[in-house]
Amino acid sequence: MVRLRHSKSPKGSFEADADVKKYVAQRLDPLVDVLSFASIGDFTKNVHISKKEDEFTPVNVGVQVLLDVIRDKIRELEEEKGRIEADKKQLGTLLDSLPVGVYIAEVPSGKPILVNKKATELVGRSFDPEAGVDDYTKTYDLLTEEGKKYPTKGHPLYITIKKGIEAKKSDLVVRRPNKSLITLKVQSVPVHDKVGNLSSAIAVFDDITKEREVENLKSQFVSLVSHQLRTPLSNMRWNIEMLLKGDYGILPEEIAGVLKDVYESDKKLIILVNDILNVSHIEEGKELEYAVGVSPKKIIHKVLTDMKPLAREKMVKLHFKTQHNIPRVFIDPKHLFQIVQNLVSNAINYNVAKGKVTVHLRKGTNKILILVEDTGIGIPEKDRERIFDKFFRTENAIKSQIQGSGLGLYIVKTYVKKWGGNIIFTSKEGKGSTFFVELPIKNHIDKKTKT
Amino acid sequence: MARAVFLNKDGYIEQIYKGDQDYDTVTSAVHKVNKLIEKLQSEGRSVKVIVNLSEIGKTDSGSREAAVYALKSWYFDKTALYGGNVFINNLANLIIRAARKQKKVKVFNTRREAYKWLG
Amino acid sequence: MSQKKILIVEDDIQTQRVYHNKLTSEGYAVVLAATGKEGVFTAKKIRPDLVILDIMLPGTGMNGFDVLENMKKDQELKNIPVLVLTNLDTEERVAKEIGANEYLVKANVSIDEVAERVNKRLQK
Repeated sequence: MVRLRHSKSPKGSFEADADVKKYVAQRLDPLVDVLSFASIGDFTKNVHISKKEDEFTPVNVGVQVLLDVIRDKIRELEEEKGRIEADKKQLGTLLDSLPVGVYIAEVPSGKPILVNKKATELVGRSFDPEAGVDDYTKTYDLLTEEGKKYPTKGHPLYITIKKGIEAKKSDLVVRRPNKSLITLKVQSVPVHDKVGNLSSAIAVFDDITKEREVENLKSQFVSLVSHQLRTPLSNMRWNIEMLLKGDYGILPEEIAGVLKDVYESDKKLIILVNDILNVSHIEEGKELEYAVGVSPKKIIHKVLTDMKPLAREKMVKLHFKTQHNIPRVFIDPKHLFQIVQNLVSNAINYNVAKGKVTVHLRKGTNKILILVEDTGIGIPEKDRERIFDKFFRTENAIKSQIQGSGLGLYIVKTYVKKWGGNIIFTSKEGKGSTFFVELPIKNHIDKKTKT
Repeated sequence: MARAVFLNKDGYIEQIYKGDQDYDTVTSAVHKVNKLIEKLQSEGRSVKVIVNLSEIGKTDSGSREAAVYALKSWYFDKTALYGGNVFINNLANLIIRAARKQKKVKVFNTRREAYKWLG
Repeated sequence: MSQKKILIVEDDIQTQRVYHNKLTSEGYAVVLAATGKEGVFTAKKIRPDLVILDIMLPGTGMNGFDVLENMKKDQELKNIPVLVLTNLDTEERVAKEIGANEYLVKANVSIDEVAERVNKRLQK
């Protein structure tokens, strides 16, 4: 038992004497010992709790509990770490089994966090952990399809990292160490954390070398076809035009008549070739468009003028009713021409003798409306759903022996939709049909030109 | 890990903790106590709790958190703990402190002392 | 020299003939070239008032675009109006970017329309 002695001191203050100080230090020593180990990260020591309680017991117990808590927390973290490692391994296995290359990029550097087996295989090299987004072209020998160095700023990962948006390119060529070339389609997506910041970017790439080859062949084929088929067709057209005009002298009526038939056949062939080429272009998605503000009135006039001979042949009257001040439409004039031409040509071809075709042009709110009305054979109820399908022809159309490819309405709908419009129709079998085409007017569309 | 929660013959809510405790064991005991507290309250009786720590094993940080939470959220007039060893008793005091319930919750060495204080 | 000269760069013989017949009947002097090289050479030599240019030209030599580019680089030729007349329908943007004044698909225009465009350009 230690006796505490006060020394004479001013009121309110307490000064322990040397013995007390020594005692306290002695009792605190084991505690300090444990704490000193803890300070270097060693939490394995324990505080001895004596069965006899005294003033120091709460502190001793408190420190021991503290150590317990720390050890608990450390264990939890180790377990978590273990789980993360296991997950990572699982992810790695999954990624390696994919048939596409996967590259997970650190943001903002673009350096690789995770890369799968296929990626390494496709690129033909192991990925450089220090190569960031500015080094891709150099490190992995990336080229454009023309053989030039692939622009750094064009790489989808560059776009994703800098702008935080998805990006896709189908024109990356990789020159592997063995000098072989493959074409890759690369898609990259941003990954955001809980607060919305960009935390990483994932790029997936696919070998499209074969597809590209096929596309190129197709492209070449189409160019060839358009040139080879159309050359004789255009020659025939022009020569007959000149003959019929009298440029080579007046023709006897009978001969002129025969030539007119030849001319019409030639025109039909030209239209057919146009349809086939259009479909081929549309499907490739590589159509080049050249959009401007177009006057629907002018286009409709042009189509109707063109179609006069056909209408005369079918004994169908053409009418055009238009309101005033029709605004311009933002569209490729060739497409609008095609839309109107296909609808009017159907209206004439599938009409009855002495029937009529009326084209109405009206303006609506922020749009124009083109109606093509005919007194023709109409569209049977059961065929209404499929009327815009590629190559679809209705039963009554086929039975009528009228020549058609089944592509006309497919092309019309594709073009109408492409330029932000809509198309519907009403029809009564045996009575006629009316097609309604809506197209947005010029000021309401953002310029869209695809390459 | 068995524990018992019941209303004893003296009208006190009695808890017996046996073996090692973790967050789940303490929480489920606390739920049972809550039910009994509600019962007593609806009968207009005073709520007194007695906790037997003589057979308690190890406690982890989860169990202690749950205990602090319980003490903070329970409605009661008095709670007495007894039967623990030096370590457990001091630990209990730390928990009571953390819950700021020093006036309403006390630790005793024997059941007799606990009962006496509960009154 | 009031008669205007039109240079036609086109390799198909039948097509050459139609151009020739129509445009001479419109009062123009027509000169024909069947390859890109010939086209550039002739253009430099005779300095036509207008050029009708096909795109697909024979051999692995110059195509219509090359001819057009050549003309645009030449001080004496760059202001000559060029009408691209082709059966390819996908090259309008490229042609206009290089400097073609018009782009027509042969199969889709009448010979009268071709004459009309020529007349307009030469302000007859």
